[in-house]
Amino acid sequence: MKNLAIIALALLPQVALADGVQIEGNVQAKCIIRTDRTGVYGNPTPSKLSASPADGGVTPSIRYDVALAGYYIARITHPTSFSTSPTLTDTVTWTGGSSVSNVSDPDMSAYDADKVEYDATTEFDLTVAGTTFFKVDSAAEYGFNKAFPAGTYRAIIQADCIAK
Amino acid sequence: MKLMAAAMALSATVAGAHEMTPAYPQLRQSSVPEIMQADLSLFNARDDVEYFAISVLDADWKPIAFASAQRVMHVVPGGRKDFEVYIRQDDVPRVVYLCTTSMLRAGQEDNAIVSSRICSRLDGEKA
Amino acid sequence: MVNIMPDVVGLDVTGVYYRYTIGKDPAADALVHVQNENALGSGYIFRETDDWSGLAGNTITKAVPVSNIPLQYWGIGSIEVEGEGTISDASVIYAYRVDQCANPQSSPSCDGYEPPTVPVTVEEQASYDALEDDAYRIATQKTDQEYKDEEAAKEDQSDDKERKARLERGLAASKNALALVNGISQDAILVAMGYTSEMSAYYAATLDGGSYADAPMLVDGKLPENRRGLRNGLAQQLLHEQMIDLQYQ
Repeated sequence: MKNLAIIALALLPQVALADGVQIEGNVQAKCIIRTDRTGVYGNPTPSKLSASPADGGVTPSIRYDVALAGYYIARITHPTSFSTSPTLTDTVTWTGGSSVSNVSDPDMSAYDADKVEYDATTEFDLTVAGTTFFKVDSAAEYGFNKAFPAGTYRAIIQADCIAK
Repeated sequence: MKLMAAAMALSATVAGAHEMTPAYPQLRQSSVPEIMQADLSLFNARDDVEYFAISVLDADWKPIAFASAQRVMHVVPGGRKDFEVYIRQDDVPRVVYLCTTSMLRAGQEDNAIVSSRICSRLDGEKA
Repeated sequence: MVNIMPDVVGLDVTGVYYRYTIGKDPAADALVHVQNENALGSGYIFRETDDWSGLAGNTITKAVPVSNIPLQYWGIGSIEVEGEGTISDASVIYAYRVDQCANPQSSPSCDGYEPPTVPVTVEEQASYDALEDDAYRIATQKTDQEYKDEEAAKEDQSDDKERKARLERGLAASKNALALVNGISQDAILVAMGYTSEMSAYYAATLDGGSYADAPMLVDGKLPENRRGLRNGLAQQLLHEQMIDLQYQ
C-alpha cells in the first residue's frame, strides 16, 4: 500500500512555472498643450500694438501633441482685451487669427483648410496623431489713430484641447 | 555591450506643457449615495503656471455644480496631481466636459500670455 | 556620412530628425523624399516620404526612429521633391550611439576582453658582501685568548703611560729644582752686585773750589745805525714818538 502511494505521488504531473514577466501598457487618447513661444507686442505706430514680426513683435506659438488621431479638437481664441494695461478711455479694436505653422505629418496641413472660425476663436479638428504648431496673430488699435498711453500691456490667448 | 547614446532633438524651445488624462474618464459610484466620482490626473510642465482651476460644463459650455477637494489646484512645475471630481447623480446626463484651466496670477511679470485648458468628456467615448 | 559623423568604431545611427518648409500650390501634387544612399550596395538605406499632394505648403518637423544601422552603410543624404514644390530651411539631424565594446580590448568590462600577458621582469640580484656573511663574522670573532692578549696589551700600554708620566713629573721636578736653584744663585749675584758697604768715601768727598774772575766786558761802543734799516726803523721810531706824544696833549 505504501509502495502504491509512493508511485501515485511520482506520477502526479509537476506544476509548470511560467517563464518571463509581462509588461503591460495601453495607449490612451491624450492631448498636451505646450507654449512653444510666448509672444511680444510690438508698437509700430503709437496707436497700434501688434505681435507680427513685421511690426516688431513676436508671434506666439502653441504646440499641440495628440497621441491618438481624431479624439481632440484644438480651439484657440486670440485676445479681445488686455489682462494688464494702463487706464484706457477709448475703445480698442482687436484683430487676429490662428493658423498651422509647423507639423509632424504632412496631412496636418489640411487643418488650415478645414478650420472653423467664429468670433475670435479658431477650431482645428486634430485628425492626425502627432505634433502640430499653431501660430496666433494678434493686433490691437486704440480709438481712431489715438496713441496708447505709456505702460505695460498684456493679453491672454486661450488654448483649449477638447475631447470629441 | 556598452552603449553610449547621443540623441539630438529638433524641437523648438519648450516653455512648458499642460496635460490631463484620461480623455474619457469613467464616472463611478462614490462612497456617498447619489454622488458619482471621476478620477483624473494632471501633469504640469509649465514653469510659469502653478494653479489650475477645475470646471464641469454641459454641452453648451455652461457650468454645472460639482465638488472637489480644491476648486483651484496647486500643482508645482514639473509635478503631477491626481484629483477626484464629485457630481450629483442627477446632473450626470447633462455633464459633458470636465476641464482644467491654467490660472495666471495678476501682475505676473513674465510674458505668460497663453492660458491653456484641457477638457475631457464625461459622457463617454465618441462613437 | 563619415564627414558628418565622428569617425569612431562601433557607431550606428538610431534615428533621423528632419525639418523643412515646402512652398507649393495647394492643388498641386508633391512628394518629398528625405533619403540616404546605401554606401555598401544599391538603393537607399533610409528613405522617408512626405505626401503633400493636395495640401498647402507648410513646415514639417519629423522624427523617424531607425533600427541601429551601422555608420558604414550610410551614404550621401539628400532631400528630393517629386512634383511641384520648393524646399527651404531644410535641416537633418542624425542621432547615433557608440558601442564602446566594438573593440573588446577597449575596456575590461567588454565581452571577449583578453587581459594582456604580464611582462617578465628580471629581478635585480642583491649584491653579496662576503664581509657581511655570518661565516666570516664568526670566523673573525675574537677568541678568549685574543681578548686576554688585548687586555695585556692595554695594561702594558697603561704601564708605559704611567712610566712616562712619572718620568715627566720627575723631569719637571728636576727642571723646577734647577730653576729654583738658578733663581737662588741669581739672586745672590744681584745682591752681590747691588751691595755697597762703603759709602762714606762719597759723603766725605770734597771738591776743589776756587773763584771765578770776572769775564772780560764789552767796551761801550756805538752801534752804527744800519743804513739799510734807516728807512724802516726811523719811520717806526717816529711813529712811536708820535704815539707817546699823543698821551700828553
